Amino acid sequence: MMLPCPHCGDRDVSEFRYGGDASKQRPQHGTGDLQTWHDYFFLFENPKGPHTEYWQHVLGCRRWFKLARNTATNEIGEVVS
Amino acid sequence: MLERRSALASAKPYVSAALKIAERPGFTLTQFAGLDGDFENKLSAVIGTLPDKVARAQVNGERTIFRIGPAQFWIVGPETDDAASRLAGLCAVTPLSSSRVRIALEGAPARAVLARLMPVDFDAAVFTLGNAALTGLHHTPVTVHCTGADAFDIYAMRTFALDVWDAVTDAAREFAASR
Repeated sequence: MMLPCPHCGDRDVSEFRYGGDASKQRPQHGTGDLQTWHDYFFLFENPKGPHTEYWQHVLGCRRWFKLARNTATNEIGEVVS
Repeated sequence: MLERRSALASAKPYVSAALKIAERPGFTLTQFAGLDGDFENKLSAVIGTLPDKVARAQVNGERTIFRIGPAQFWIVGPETDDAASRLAGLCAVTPLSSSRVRIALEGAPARAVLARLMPVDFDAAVFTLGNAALTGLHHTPVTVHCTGADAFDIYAMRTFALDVWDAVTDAAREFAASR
């Protein structure tokens, strides 16, 4: 699988580190109860289909970016940012 | 004067008629990074033309320039290079000479050896003279630079130098003079 690094171009997935679900919203600092933070840190969806996720080109330019990927087909979409 | 000690002093030498693998010491490596919009103009005013993309290294006289990240460049020059002092104050200057080793491969089997180690297309029609890649070898980041038809430099972290050396020479065992 090739991933489109916004800096280096299309590169092999083995050069990247997966950074997790990019659609999760971190609770505002100092707000929410323990349950809110527990859910944010420890509970993850395991979606089949379209997914937005963080990746880092850790063996290349070290840049983080958001990528749209279909978890069922590994179809790569746009770099979101 | 203090002498630089090679991180590969204890490495097992690699001997082959077809392929030369050796440390290539004697360089200055400095990273230049800037956050202001004018950074690249300031850098090129001192250094000359900058590489326009990651995949191509730019050679200006004795210096080779790599674009290694957003607003980040590596300049490899001779041991006496004064680029760092000339750019001091203009941007973030990080001396990296003592943090990297340079391993050179030269010979017909070099491309086949590299292809075993890194997820990069090293075909002679694709990875040509002047091409560069930021990639990984044995789970450590390395920079590979094509310096001739079948000649390559690998810049690896000093702390992983022996590990990278072993990985490269292992991948090249079939071309070695004796096993």
